[in-house]
Amino acid sequence: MSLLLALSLICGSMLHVSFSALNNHYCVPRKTVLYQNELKSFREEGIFNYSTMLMRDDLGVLLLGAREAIYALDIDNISVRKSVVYWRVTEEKQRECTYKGKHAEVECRNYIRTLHKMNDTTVYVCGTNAFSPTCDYLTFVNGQLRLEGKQEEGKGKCPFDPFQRYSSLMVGNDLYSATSINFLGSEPVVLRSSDLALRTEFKSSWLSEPNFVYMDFVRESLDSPDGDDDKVYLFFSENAMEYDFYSKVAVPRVARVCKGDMGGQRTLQRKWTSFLKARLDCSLPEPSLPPIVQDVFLLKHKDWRKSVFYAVFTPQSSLSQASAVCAYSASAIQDIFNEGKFKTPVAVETSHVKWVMYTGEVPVPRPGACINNVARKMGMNRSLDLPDKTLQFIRDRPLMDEAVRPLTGGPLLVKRGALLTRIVVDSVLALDGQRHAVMFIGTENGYIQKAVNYHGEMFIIEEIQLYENPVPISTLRISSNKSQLYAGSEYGVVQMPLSNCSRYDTCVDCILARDPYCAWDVTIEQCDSVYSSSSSSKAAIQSLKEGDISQCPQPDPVAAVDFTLVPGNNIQLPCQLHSNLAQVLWRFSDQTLHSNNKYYIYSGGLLILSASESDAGVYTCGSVEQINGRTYNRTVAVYHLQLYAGPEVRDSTTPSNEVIDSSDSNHSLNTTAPRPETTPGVEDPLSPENQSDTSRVTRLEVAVGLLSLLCLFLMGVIFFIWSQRRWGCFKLEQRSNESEAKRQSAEYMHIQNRTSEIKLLGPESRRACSANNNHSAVDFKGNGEHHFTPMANISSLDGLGYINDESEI
Amino acid sequence: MLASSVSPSLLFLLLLFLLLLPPPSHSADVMVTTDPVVQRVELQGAPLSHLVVDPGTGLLYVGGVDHLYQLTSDLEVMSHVRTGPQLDSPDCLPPIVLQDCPSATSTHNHNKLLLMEEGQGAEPGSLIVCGSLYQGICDKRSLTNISQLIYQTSNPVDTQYVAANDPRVSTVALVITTENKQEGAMSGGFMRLMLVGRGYTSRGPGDIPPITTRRLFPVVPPRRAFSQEEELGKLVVGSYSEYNNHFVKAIAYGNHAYFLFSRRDMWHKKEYRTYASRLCISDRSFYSYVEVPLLCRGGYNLAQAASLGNHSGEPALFVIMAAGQASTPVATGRSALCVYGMADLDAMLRRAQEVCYTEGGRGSSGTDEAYIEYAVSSKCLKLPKVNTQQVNTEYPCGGEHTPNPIASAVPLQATPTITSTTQLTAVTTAAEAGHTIAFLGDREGQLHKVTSCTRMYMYTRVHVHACTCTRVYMYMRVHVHVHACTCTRMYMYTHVHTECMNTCRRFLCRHVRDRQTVNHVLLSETRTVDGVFWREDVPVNIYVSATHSLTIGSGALNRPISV
Repeated sequence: MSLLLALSLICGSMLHVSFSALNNHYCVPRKTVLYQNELKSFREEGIFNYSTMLMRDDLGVLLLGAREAIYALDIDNISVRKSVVYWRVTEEKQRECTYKGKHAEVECRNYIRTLHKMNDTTVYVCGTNAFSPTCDYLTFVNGQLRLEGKQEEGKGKCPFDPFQRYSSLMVGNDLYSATSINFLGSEPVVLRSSDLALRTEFKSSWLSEPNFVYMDFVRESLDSPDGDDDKVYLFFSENAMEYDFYSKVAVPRVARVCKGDMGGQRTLQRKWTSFLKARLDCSLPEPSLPPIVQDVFLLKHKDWRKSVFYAVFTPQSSLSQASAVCAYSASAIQDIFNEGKFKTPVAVETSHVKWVMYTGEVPVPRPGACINNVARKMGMNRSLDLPDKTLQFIRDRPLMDEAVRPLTGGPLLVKRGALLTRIVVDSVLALDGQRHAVMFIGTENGYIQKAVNYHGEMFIIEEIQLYENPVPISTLRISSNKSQLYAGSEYGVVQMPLSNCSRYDTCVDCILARDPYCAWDVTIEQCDSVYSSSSSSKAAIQSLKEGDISQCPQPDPVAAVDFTLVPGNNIQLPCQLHSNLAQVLWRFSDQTLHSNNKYYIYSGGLLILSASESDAGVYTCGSVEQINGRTYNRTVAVYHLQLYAGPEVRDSTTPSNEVIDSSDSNHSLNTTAPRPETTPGVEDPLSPENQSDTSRVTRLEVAVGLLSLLCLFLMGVIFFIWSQRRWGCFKLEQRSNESEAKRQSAEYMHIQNRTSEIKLLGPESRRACSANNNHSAVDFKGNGEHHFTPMANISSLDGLGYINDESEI
Repeated sequence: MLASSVSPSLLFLLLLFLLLLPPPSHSADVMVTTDPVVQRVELQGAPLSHLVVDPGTGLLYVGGVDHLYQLTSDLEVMSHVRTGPQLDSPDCLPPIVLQDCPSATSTHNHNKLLLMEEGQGAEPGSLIVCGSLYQGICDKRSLTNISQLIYQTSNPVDTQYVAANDPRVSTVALVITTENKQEGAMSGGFMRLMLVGRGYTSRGPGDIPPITTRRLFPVVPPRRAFSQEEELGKLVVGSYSEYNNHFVKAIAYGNHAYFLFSRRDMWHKKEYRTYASRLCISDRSFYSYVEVPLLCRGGYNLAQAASLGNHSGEPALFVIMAAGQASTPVATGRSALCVYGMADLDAMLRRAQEVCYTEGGRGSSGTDEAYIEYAVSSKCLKLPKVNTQQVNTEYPCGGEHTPNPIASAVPLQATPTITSTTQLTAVTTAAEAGHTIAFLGDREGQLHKVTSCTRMYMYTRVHVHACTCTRVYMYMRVHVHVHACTCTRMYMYTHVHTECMNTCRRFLCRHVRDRQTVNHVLLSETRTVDGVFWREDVPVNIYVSATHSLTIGSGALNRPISV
């Protein structure tokens, strides 16, 4: 059996080698930090869904909304609960809710979904209240939380459904909310609850089954030469209307309204006159349906034009596994809305409507524009003064023709595996005086990916496991002042420092981490935070873009560790690398060792099988890390193997059969991350019986022959595909239950005609993700639209034809 | 019971036989009457599309193109108002300013809605008039003198556009009165609303839902009359152009408002079909909306006109259906009268509601019986049946949690009571001495009277049709003797339907006695009969409006009617 396995492994490695080149534009975190108990966290027994957070630096608390409870937690240490108030549903409400077909213990509870600051002591809070959204005022006085009990109607401000995405924002005393206004969740609305309430028209050209994700406020009136107004931006996905598609396709969108909008006088009375929306473009390197926006973070800048929206996207079809982060500058979005062309519906047949670019004359004042100097010059000082022509135009054509392109033309990060869920971004001032945006991205399995993009090079500094169990991170908040990150999930909240430079114990490691928060302090010989070492910045070393370690002091030579060699025994020499991106390099008396019948190299070290006298000597474990095209070598461990002068053991060397040897690669199990399942029938190859069993070779010759044929066939296929160079053809399906931790040393893959997952340790190049960036950019940059090559690729998408017809009227 | 003696096979044969009878055609025996009892009045503004009779005063209100009339019951003109032509364009919003609206031209004002809003206490009633001009805005006029405006929609807001701005696109409406919880004190606890059904218009502000609720009373500023307010219900539609309902009638019956319309079947075969839909009058949010396709066997798929009447003593909807030209909404001459019992219709709608509330839309056999129509992102549910009772009994008018708008996948079927090769265009009904009389108007300006025996054997619906004697017998013309032949044919089974026959015979005799009277009137100009209006309290008057230079017969047809 091991023979068969071995052969399949060879085939597998061939596949993998060819794929690794394809794959390496998907980032691998340089470091993986597994779950640690000492993380500060909070949860209360019996309370779930810690999904709403309001940071009150001024009060020194983090307000946390969960199911039927609101907590005030110490912002410095969230495990310290300062106060709590419970807001439970009444029995009557719960009963009513169950009559309406909802689950008593799931949906018919009060999920706190909204927490907004009203003034210094008061917070506006809304809960789903057993599918009957209700809002109230919450005060925090003398360290005590108190609900005022002024139960206000929450329809349109807070969703009915506790699990439906929504977004809201408090600007002054106006609450902007984007949610469903009815029980069934079928009537979406973008609402401003204020003295002059405004809302969206209820029609599909405005919002078509939207999934609201994020809202933020941009003070565009500041120093505006056009006398423009402040805006509220909304990110969501909805059913596309611009594609001719057989089935419904979702598209990511950004929409905006003006703060000063008062609705129209005759047309669009009490409706937004400034609701405009545009498609968000975030092209993945493989052809796919448009990805879906999951979360957005606005990295604010003093000059709003330099403010940047960071958006997390996940694939809309299960065929793709790659999540991405794209960034959009506020000014680019503004340009599209202020100057872009509109789309207009055109009746094609009797009832079919197609959306195409509007080429006719656009009324003045421009439809959807805020009241600006142009309008004021025409004597229109409020949206109520806008002419019907402008209002009718925008009521029927809220969609812009052009999509908003990402800041850098493409994604800042593309990552395979566990889907990304939430994002926050911090702007860090590095030692060289430059600011770097560090992204903290939550995943569906409880990890935080800390990533940067250095001039187009995607780089994940580290991934940190925040939850022991794989739970999706549902809320992320960042406090730059406190340098803390707060991550909420169904089961609790975890607090994490934005950086932990002490993880890097050597100068090389500190530099190669390329963490903008960290620099090597030469004086104290520690990797330290850039903020704390700022006083002696001359003595600190940091090289973010290059990862240049030349300034690092020569490391002390690694002291050799003595090991005793007992001939005939297997000897294990541990060697743990510092980086997931590094490859191990074992040397023995100036010779590089490879996995073969004698040596077995795995992520935890080296195994010398049936050591003999000739194996005595000095072994060095080196790490070879590629950063930004450069190779860094360093010695991690040195072992001095000395012969044990004990009784001689019979030599039981295995026959020099390559097939059997490579079956040893089955040992490449990472000890820290066991395989999720083992193939039935695989015997433990460590057992000596297996090693010496030669008779099986002959018995399995036939099988070997067959497998060799299969192998050849596979190679042929690989070559064919490789020559085609099409990403889309290769979707390596990964097991959904695969956790990040298990991937730290090698990648899983699912070999097409086998059912077992096989972990491979091959001579693959472990580059971070930059290598093929250019390649993908060549293919997919520019038009930003995905065009399928005919036949094969379309069929790979479940028969979905996808035509983005940009034809004009 | 007499019926128990009838063998089913015999009944079937009879039924088959009767069904095979050639449909009565009146192409051969049209009699032009110059009966002096027919009074006529010539009015301007053809076609005179709308006619309302005030049951209290007997006054008549007639709406046509650019003209509005108020008449006495003797057809004397009391008041006459010109409503058009005016400078307008369907592409522009009122008020029309020529420089903003270069497409504005002198445009005729077609009357689209003419309704009476009854007075309540000190509040006098009014006549609601909506035209095709100015995006279909409405006025309220005094019932005593229509030239007196009570409410004018000046400087209208886009929520006040009521009627279709296109003369060809139909609009129907219904005034309802419901409880008013919010404004209880000042409105006397009630609220008057108008339910409007209108077709899709491609020009001007689209996206006016097919069915909307408009406020009529109380109107306290900033509220406006005829306004479709946010909190008032509307039929939400995913695609306005796809759900282009051609409305035929709006009727109030019991606690419900009904709409009859035809449109393309978007769910199934995309063929044009007729639908009846229902709403609870008390339901301000349209949670209770249900619709069912109406099938009139023989391929009559497009409703042309409808009237609520009694059939065999049971309330029924009399619907004129025409066969569409191929797969278009254009009606051909092949038309029929199909009668749908309101009890059957309600049962069908209730069933669809129930199945969609508690069975996920699937019937016991697993087939789709109900679904969510109008491209609304909702679906049928499986709500718990509380206390083993149907949810429907707890939420007869739906609730915020019930899926809507519901459509029945199973149609309500009927066999034509009468068929015609001349396009039938209008219908009205009345019950007289236990008989139902229906008057049908046709495209050629003829009026047909259809009478049915009341105490028919009503074991099943099959019997209704089995008593096709009704069909033949009731379809009476001046040439009663022709029909006497038909009656002899019926004589074959007199022993079976004794009672029915007795009735019929009595009936026949009376008609034979009335031989000289005119049952079948050819109006002076052979034009389409747009509406037949029945004055219920006084069965002596029947008013007929025709396309061209309207002829209103009054008092003329009393004798043939009062059987």
